[in-house]
Amino acid sequence: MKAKITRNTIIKLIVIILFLGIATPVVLAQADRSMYFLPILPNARIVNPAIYPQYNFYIGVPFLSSVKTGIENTFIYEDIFQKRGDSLYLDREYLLSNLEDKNTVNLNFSEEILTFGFKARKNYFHFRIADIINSNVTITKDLLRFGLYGNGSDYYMGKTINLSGNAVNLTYYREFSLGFTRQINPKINAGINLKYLQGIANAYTKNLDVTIETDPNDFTITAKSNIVLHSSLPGNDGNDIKPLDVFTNTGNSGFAIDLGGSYVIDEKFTASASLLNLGSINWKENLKTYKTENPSESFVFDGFDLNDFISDKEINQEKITSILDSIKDELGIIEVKESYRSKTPSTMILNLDYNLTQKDQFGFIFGSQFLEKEVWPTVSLGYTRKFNRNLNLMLSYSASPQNYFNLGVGVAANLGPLQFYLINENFTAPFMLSKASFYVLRFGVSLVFGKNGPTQIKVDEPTPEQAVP
Amino acid sequence: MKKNHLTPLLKIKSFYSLALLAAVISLFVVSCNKFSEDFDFNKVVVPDWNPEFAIPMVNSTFVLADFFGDSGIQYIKTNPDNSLSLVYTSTEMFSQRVEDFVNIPTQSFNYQSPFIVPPLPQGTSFEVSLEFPIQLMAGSPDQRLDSLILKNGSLHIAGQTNLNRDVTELTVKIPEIIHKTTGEPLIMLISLNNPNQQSNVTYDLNVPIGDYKFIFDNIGASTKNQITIQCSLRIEGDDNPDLSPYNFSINGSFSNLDFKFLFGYLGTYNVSLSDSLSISLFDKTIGGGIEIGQDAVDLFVEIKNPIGMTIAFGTEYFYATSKVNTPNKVDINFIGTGNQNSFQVDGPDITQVGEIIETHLDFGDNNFSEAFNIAPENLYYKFVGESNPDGDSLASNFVTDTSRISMTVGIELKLFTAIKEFKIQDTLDFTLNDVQQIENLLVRINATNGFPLNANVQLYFVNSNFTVLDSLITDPNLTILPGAPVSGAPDYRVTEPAHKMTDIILTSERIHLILDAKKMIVRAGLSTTNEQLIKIYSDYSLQIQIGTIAGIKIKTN
Repeated sequence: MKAKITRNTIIKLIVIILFLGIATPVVLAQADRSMYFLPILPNARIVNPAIYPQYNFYIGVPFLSSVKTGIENTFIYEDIFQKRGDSLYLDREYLLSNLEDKNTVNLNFSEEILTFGFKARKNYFHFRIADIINSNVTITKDLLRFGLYGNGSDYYMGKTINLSGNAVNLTYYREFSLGFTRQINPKINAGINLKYLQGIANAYTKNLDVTIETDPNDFTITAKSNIVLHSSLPGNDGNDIKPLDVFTNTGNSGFAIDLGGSYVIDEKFTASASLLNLGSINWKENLKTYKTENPSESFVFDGFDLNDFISDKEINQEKITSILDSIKDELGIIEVKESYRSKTPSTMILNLDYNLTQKDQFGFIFGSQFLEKEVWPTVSLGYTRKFNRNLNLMLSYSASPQNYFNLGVGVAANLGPLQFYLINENFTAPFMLSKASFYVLRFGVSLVFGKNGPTQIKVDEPTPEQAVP
Repeated sequence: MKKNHLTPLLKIKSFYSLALLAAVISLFVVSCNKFSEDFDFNKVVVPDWNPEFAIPMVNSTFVLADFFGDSGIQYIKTNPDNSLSLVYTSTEMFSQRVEDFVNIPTQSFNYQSPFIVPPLPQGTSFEVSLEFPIQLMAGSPDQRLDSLILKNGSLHIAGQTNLNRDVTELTVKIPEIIHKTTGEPLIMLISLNNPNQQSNVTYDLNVPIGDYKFIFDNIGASTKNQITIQCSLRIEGDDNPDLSPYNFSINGSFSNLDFKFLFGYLGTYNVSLSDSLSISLFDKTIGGGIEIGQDAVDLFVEIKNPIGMTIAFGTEYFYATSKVNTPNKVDINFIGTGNQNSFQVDGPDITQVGEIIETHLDFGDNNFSEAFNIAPENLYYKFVGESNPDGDSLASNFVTDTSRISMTVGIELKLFTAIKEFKIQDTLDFTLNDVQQIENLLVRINATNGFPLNANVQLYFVNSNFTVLDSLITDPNLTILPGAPVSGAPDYRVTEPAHKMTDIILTSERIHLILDAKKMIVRAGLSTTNEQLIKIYSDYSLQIQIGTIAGIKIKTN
């Protein structure tokens, strides 16, 4: 008995320490987390495939079952504009002083086209088609300073400007997901989603490193670059873009997997973890890559030779129109067609729920999204009130280094078989848009049938032998 | 009882639920107003800063040839000492073709002669030979035709005789007219049979002689250009009465005689060639001229003569003109002061038929220094030539039908000059777009001048009525291109390039003025370093680097 008590205690401690240990101040905002706090939603398995829906069968209203739009930045509106009286000032020094060395903008949008799932004894099967757009842009303070001051300013003239560290990753893909959830025993659930990904458009900087120096006397620019900018965009081949190019483009395929598990520690604590979107897309169609031909070589651009543009006292218009190509050539950047692979932005979510009562639940989430060269962690606390079996209301708090006060609110309700939900990840943002660094709104409408009981598996009271002395 | 106890609680919970739902919905409604309030970008104050981007625009190195991408200059010549000369050449001008001025007129002849025929019994025959000389004339009386090779022509002969024989055959032979291919002389057989005892028997025929050539024997004969018509009458004997002496006549003409070649002494013919030569160096001159160094201009004439005659040329006129400098016209003398412009060119000799004799004549003793003081835009000239100027009638000439004389006139201007206040101007169409985003513009010109030439350049931006809206250079004394220092005689060579950095600042107000401009007037004042004599060498170059710093306007709405 002592051994069992010790084991339970240790598990609790490990889980708690794990969360506290990981939840360092370097967390950032993260989307989707609040779905954990609305347990009556079958859509919650988006964030953990181990979540076992409470219904025998569900089907989403096509195109409306789950619509999400969100933005997450490392800076806020007030970092850019300075309010003085009734006016807004755009002061570059003020702006630069408020920015991090690396600043990120993360825009995402997703829409479920079709989703359904059904129970088969202890198993649950799911199917989902969704369009997903992710845009991750990293802009360094140096690049912004370069844009705000220019290489012709005293700040930069004659100095080497390092514009490295910037990145762009824009992806639009369609996901076809087959999911499976299994109640292994009353305490443990496990789930998996296997996804076929249809890449539609992508722009992706593998490298975007540039240094520039401007000669103060004649403005000669000496540049060194290591640029690899991949893109696979409809229209890259020079043809007009047609709708079918977007919907039938199957040349860019990929695969991803979601893994999840949950463990009911006792009647009060439940821990769960998930790894989402582990995969990649191979881009093979509509390709265009700009890359530095020789990254080790410095390129000097000291102006155009007029003799190249003037013949017989006439300006050669064709040469003028190709001036941008000329600059590109001067910098040694070539255009090629090169297939490539981009990783899907994978996410890890760790969750610990505490049931204060049967109707009051607290949750703690640590999530981290892994981008090409960046990690986007977040931490959230949530409270869920289960008013009855058909209405959940949740409040959440999320913290990031840039904004420690993000309050979320969400509601999920069943009106007969019709289920709708609305989640606002930062509900104070509309009142304080100028202070908000992130905002996520998700809503959806589904049809649910055959309630099969709560996902929270009730754990038997410990016997006296199991009790801790 | 229990039910009654729970009802208020349920009501309270329902109230809270509805309140929370209402609160959530209110958030979105209120947020809309807040959004428009916080994000009213019309409230953004124009910042008092502009990002400034420095861009190297132009980096060009010019050598002399780059300034003369003009077809008026044949080439820039590098002299043995590496000094340069500009060479202007006219287009090739041509004289008339020989067949247009050397004509062989129609040559007519008319002869008659009595002849005696002895009694001719049947079965016998008798032959009578008669000769008639003809002198062909082409032009002047002193012409001597040695041979005439035709490409076209016809011989017409006609005549009659009162010979009353049944059978008579006339053979007309001209030994000087020989078939070009067979080498056989021209022979014509004519029947003069008179079986009906008519009073006269006539004949008339045309013979094409385009395939023949005339070979004249001017050495043995006392008469020049002579051919002989040999007539032979072969008379068969019969029983007709003898009416001897008889008469015989022959007349006719050589007409449409077009020659391919003509040999001999052709006497005097005149040819003329006229043209003009544009000196593009001075096209844009609006004032000032240049002082050229000693012997710096060479006039040359290149003549191609396929005509087998010596031609003496003179000028009917040869002068330089300027629209802007006086005197507006300067007569050119290239044989030396006080002498008539004249020169003589040889043609191919008799052993060089089909060849062209090229003659290059340089005339250094000229008064071009006087002409270049007015910076002439054009030279006008007319050359008149005369063949066989020596009048040597023993000379052997030849001509071909299509041959003609061609002439090219050129001047070689050694770039050995002193320039003072030489001004040029040009007007160019001008449109400036897409600069609304530019708040201010600094244009930096770095000039490294290896030429010993100062340049003051000004750009005037004018509207369609040529009203000046702005000028690029505000300081009228600003020299953008200082001339490189020069050593003394005899090389007058640049000792080191001159460098100058010039900043021109265009404010937004000036940029707006320039935006309305439709044309740009480029005016430049040129002078040699210290206005001294200089020479231009092949290793001189001018490097121009133009960079800009553009202040970008930040728009707030």
